[in-house]
Amino acid sequence: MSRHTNPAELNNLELDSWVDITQQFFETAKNVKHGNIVKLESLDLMEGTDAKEILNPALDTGLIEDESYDCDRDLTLDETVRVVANITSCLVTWLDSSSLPVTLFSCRYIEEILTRFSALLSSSTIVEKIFQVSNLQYSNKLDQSDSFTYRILRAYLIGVLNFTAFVLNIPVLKDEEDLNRVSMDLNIDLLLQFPQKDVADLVNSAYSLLEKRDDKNSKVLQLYFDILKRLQMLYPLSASVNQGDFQDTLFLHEATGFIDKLSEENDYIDSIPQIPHLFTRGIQKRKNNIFPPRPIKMHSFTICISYLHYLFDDLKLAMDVLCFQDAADLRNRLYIFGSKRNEKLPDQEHTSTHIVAALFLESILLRDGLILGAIPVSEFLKQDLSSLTAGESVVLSLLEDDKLTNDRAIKARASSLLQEMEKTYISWIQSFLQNPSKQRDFFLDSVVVWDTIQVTADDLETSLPDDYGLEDTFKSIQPDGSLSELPVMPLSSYVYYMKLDSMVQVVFRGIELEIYKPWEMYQMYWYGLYLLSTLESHIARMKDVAKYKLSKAEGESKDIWKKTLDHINFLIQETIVFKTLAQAQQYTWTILDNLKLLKLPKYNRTTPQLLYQLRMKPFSSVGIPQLPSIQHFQNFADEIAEGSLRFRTERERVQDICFRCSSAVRQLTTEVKTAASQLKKIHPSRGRFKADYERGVDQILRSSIGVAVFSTKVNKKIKDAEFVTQCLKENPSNQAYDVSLSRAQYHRFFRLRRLNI
Amino acid sequence: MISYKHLEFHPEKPTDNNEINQIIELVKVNLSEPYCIYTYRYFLNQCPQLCYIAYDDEKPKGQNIIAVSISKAETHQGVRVRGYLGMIAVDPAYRGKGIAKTLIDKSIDVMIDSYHCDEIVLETEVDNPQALNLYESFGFIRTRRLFRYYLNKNDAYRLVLPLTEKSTIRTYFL
Ligand SMILES: CC(C)(COP(=O)(O)OP(=O)(O)OC[C@H]1O[C@@H](n2cnc3c(N)ncnc32)[C@H](O)[C@@H]1OP(=O)(O)O)[C@@H](O)C(=O)NCCC(=O)NCCS
Repeated sequence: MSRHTNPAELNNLELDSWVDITQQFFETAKNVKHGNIVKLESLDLMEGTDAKEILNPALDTGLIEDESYDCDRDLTLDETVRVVANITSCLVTWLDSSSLPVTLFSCRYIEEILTRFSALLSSSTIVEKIFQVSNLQYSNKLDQSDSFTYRILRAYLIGVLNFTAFVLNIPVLKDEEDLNRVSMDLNIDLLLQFPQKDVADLVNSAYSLLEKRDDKNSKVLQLYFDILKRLQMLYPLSASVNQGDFQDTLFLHEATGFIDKLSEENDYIDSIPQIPHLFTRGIQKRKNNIFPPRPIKMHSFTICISYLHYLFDDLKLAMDVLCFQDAADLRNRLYIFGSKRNEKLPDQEHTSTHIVAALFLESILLRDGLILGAIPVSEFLKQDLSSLTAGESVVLSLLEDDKLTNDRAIKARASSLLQEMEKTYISWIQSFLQNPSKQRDFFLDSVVVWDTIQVTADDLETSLPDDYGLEDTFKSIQPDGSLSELPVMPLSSYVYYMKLDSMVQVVFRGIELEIYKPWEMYQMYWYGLYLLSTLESHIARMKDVAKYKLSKAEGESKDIWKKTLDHINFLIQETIVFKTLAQAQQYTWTILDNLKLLKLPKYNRTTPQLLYQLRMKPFSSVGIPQLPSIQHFQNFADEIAEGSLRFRTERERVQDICFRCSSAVRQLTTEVKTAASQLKKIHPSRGRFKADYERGVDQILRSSIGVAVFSTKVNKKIKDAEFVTQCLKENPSNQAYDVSLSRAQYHRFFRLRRLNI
Repeated sequence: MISYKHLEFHPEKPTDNNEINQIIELVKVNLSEPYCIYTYRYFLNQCPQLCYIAYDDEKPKGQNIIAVSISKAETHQGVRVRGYLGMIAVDPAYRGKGIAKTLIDKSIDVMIDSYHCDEIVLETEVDNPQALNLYESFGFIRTRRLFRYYLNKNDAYRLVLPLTEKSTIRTYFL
């Protein structure tokens, strides 16, 4: 029988037809020596690795000491505040990748509610009757008494459980590390089956009781209810298909105000003692549990306050994203959403937007496979295509417009291509709604997918002129000054853009996530730079198309191409800023490399060639841009050194290389400054998204200044011949020169190296 | 004197439970993740040659195991042989003497010579600089960051040491 067999199934087992082998089992087991393994050849022990070992305190939940708690005891007002504060902490801690059993369910009242409720449900036939809040059996005392504290508590607990069930039922898939759903057979979903009005009434009537009172406790409790009530306002919104509904974020601003007020009560709340045995690990022992014993997780009051801010701030951001104007605008907003990090919270620098905000946003943005539950993704993708590469190219209407062609074969090819693109476009949207590690994984996976789609798109678009007479060209001036006519290929060009952008994201997010060691950074910035240059030339081509088409367009068509051109101008400027700073970074790594300060693995058991290939594995199968070989990198490094060959000693040669690199860094960082201020001016968003974007640009500027300062410092140091000689010694005897990476305040793609000299 | 030996394991002979218990105790005290008896048995049974033990020869039998590394090797997705470093622990009194380095070195030798591994893989906590330095000094590189991978909610890095070209080829199935 599986450990998941539920009581109903148990009744269905025909126990009469089963044979009891208990006795026989014990007899046989007597022959097994203690500690020895009995195993069939055919069996793998892998299955057993999840087993819970009896009498091992780290694994046996049976060893948890179970203290009893009387759910019918009287509660003082102070104690009520204590429970409400703890429950709120448990809620935010659960949403911080903890499980329910170590947070909310560790509260005896919650366990009691859910247990009684489940039992009542299975023993009663009058289901409708149970689904009335007033019938919820909570504790004997409460059901009969009108005690003020219990009425408050009950409303708060039901309200929080209801919100918990709401979150658990948002129809978006998330992994356990993002949202833990373990519920130990306590059927929390039942809480959703109450009419929402009943829950709201319960909460409101408790709130009115509090409003009538003047004591401090009641005022504090009221603040908690104020916050809860704002959370409840998400329920109707989450079902809305009307984009206008997301404009009203007043309730979220109000919540922020209440949280601020609550934070002033820190001393009072901290002064209320904990109630013994109310929050315990006991539930891990009493209920169906397949996990090892875990300590209770409950953030402190101050951290709870920060997490409440985190939740509401990100909900605000999610609502703002939902008010996007068009596909291009959504693109800009998603980048902001996906780039938000929570550096203010302890140990959270690698977490992105709050999980509830991400769930809420995804469930509405991609409801039922439609954008905002209303616009077919194909339509929306066309907008995105238009804003980047297609303007109003004929290929966009290939499927619908029979005047262009009514050839079935071409329509089928185009339709299957667009379907592939739609699928990848959806997961591209989803990638911004993941945690930072997964964001990189999503981009990484999409590289191969876009690459494959590009082949199909190329095939289709190259066959359009000859096979179907659908010509779409533009004229552009070539580097040699000649004017040539080239095919536009908007689909292929779009896919190529998306692929290149994903490749850039994989490399730079690797830097953010500290995937690369200092000795790899030179190489990674070099490769990142190669990708950014390829991207820049591709966007330049997109720009040529848009400029040419705009020059030929008339009427409405002119507006469309003008918009495309503006969008492209922004993208190109952004790429220039990134590229220039990446180049400056690369030179600083060149300096460190030449000074032999980037320590290679000491006991290396593999080859540089294999390490390079493994590092570049995500890109190895990409058709274009083809992965450069390690030799290319070596040649590049040699070329930089070549200018310094005329020097007599190695030290002088290295000094010269470093001087040249650091003057290049100074030049480049000046360029970053100019380019970044231009970028701020042309960022297309308005309001908060413009401000958020500008903050990101400011971080770039800070990184750029950091690089400049670093190079000035190193420049001074390099003048010291003794220092350089010491660095160049085969095995630098002292470990004093140590290169590490620092993140604080800098742009996450441009961490600064710290050289401890 | 420190000596090194891999675990002897004969299916027909009962194992030396004393050694196994010492190993389990050592890992239990030094690693944050709790493992059940079957996890140890799984590794030891599967690849006893890859359970490398360091002994302090001056200590009495029964208390002489001072470090252990536990690994396995198997075919991964039918295309390459992957070594996996499962656990390593050195008694705190013996740290910083190159013992972990020797254990890993020897395990890598076995993985190459006896199992013909194409790559070696492991996961370790992002905030365990000792372990990261240890592995990275052998040439392991970080390939992925795993969000909240451990029970204690810490992120992990997946580390890989490529030994043959097979480790570096990307197809849909790898
Ligand atoms: C990690 C651990 C196994 C290292 O054992 P050790 O025998 O002390 O390590 P070694 O003396 O062989 O050192 C080898 C390399 O590891 C790294 N290292 C070891 N201790 C380190 C420390 N305190 N700080 C930084 N790096 C350290 C160094 O790179 C060192 O090479 P170096 O001395 O040439 O610089 C040991 O600290 C331990 O048991 N820790 C607890 C268990 C654990 O974390 N296991 C790994 C997770 S599976």
